[in-house]
Amino acid sequence: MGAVSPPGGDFSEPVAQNTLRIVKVFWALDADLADRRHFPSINWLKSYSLYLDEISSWWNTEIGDQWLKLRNTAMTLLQKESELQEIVKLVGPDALPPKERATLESARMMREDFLQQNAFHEVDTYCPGRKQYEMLRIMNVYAEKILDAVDKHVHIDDIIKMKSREQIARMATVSNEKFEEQFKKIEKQLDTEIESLIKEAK
Amino acid sequence: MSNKNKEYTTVTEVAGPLMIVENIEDVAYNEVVRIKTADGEERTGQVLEAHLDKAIVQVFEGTKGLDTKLTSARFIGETMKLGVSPEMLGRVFDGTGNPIDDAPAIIPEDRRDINGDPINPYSREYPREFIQTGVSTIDGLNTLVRGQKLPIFSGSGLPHNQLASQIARQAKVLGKEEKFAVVFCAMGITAEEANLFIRDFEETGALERTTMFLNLADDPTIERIILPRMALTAAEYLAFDQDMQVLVILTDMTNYAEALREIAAAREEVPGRRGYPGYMYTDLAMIYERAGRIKGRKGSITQIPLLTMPDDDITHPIPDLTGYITEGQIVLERGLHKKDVYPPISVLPCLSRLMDRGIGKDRTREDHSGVANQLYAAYAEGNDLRDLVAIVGEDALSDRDRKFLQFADLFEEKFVKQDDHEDRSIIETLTIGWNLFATLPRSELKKIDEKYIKQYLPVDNKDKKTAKKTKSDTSQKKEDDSKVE
Repeated sequence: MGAVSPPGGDFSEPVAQNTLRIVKVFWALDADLADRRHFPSINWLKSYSLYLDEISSWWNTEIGDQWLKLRNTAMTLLQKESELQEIVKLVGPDALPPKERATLESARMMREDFLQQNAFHEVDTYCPGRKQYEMLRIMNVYAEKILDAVDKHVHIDDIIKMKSREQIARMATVSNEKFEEQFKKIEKQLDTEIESLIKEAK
Repeated sequence: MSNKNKEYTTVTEVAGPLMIVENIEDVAYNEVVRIKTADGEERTGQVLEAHLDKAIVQVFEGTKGLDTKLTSARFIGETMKLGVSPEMLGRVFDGTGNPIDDAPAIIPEDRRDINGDPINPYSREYPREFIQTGVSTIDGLNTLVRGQKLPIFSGSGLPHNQLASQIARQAKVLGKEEKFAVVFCAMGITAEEANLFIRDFEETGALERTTMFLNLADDPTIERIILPRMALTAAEYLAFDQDMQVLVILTDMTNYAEALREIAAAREEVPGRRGYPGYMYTDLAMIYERAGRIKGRKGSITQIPLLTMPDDDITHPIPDLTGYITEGQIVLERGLHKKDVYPPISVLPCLSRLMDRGIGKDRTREDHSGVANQLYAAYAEGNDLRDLVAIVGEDALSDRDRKFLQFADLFEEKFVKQDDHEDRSIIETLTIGWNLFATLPRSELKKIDEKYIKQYLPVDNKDKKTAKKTKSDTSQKKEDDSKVE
């Protein structure tokens, strides 16, 4: 592992670019993310690992068989978000159609509640693989469900008010030993809340 | 020529990859130099500049450990040559052309100048034989033909090596059994990337018809200057003397250009754009122009150079100058890669200039050109609508626009995306295209000849009636059809 700190955070300069051509894994630390107190400030779109093919079979057998699929959908979601952000900068998020707002909402959840970790928190500082997997899975379920809900005319503001959403945000700090039970409860609550919202909307 | 046995001990300066020898006589430009170091080690160099009594020599193995007192140099009176033989297939060579696979040295049938003989423009044959790569975006939309040079523009961390090895594995000319060979030239890539290619060639049994020239990331930079020239010399021998169809993969041309810059900087030349020498265009052309076919010869050289665009910038001098010389380009895009689309080929900026002559009746299929044009047009339209829909929402779109929007998504998912071991025939590729057209209103298929629409468009019963109605107004748009011959 080695660090390259290009002046001014400009990755286009030669040292960074020549390093990139040789390494197979790259974590891009991003000053903007650090300013926003997004830690660890690893830019998810610029970073990459060329070992994905090799490592995904390990995750799929040792941790959970959906891992590669979950990882890919999450990545797709984040990529879509960055494309939408350019428009949001011009017209604001409220001007977007409901489906796009739901995408933004799910991507924000990924960013704030999955990609960020507090290194000084007793529990959050280390997240075991199985817990990462479950968190990612529940957030994927959330993304899928709210997309379905807005399709059935549920208003996005009502979705954001859901209690389970807050609990998902707290998943990172649930004890690493007893998280499975707690997560199941959260998923159940998410289910019932979404269902009642869809019923109301009818 | 009598003085060619002279050994000079007049080295006066060693700077970077260069060495200066003084008090010399009869030294010619590009002449090869045998250098003996203080401890008896032999190295090879080449004259970069010849003054009256002074020569600047670049040392391929690097100048580490050379001193000005005990180093001696002998000018051998000829330019760099490579011994060639059909035995080169299945072998691995280093940056100076010596075998590194623990097998005995080859017995050359001939020794060729690595700078090659430029092909006489008059005897060049126009490339027009379709190569099926099994990759839809290339076969269907940016067709590769024999003798073409088609680079892949990529970025760090994108799967360009995977794509190149897929092409090397699957490339074939339909309906012909011919001798096929791959010349693989690695400039400054990592050992792991080189292993990926070797493993891949081994698995498919392609290794025995592959000649590899390897200069890895930790090998001397200067060797990268001569490496593609040696690889192409071997390729020319296999193609034009041994009647083989040769595919040359050059990876990574960015490292080649960096090596060029390193030498230019050491010689204190006036730098051009971004520090690259002003003659980089000419220099690249000398490599790329060695692709092609010659009248009266059976063999051909097809080149696929790979390059990583620094910071994904297509205006950077390396991709920019390359694009001027080559006959089109395949461009990879990070956005598609993040959306889990393999191969992440961004279709719109891609181009194959030689496609028109290689497709159509008797080559691929008579509807190919129309299908390609229509796919481009519809995808471009759907792609534009994506920005619009993000603002106004899908509901605000007209029925027609919504179909194009959906088309763009389907196109990426069904046409572009495929497995890295999926070898699609051109017919399969065209069928996917036609299935996608079925999602669009028939009247919008303006770029395809009416008779092909009738023949190939999958129609279900419901659409048949409307199809008849629109027939008259689509046939008027015939002028859009390109010559599908």
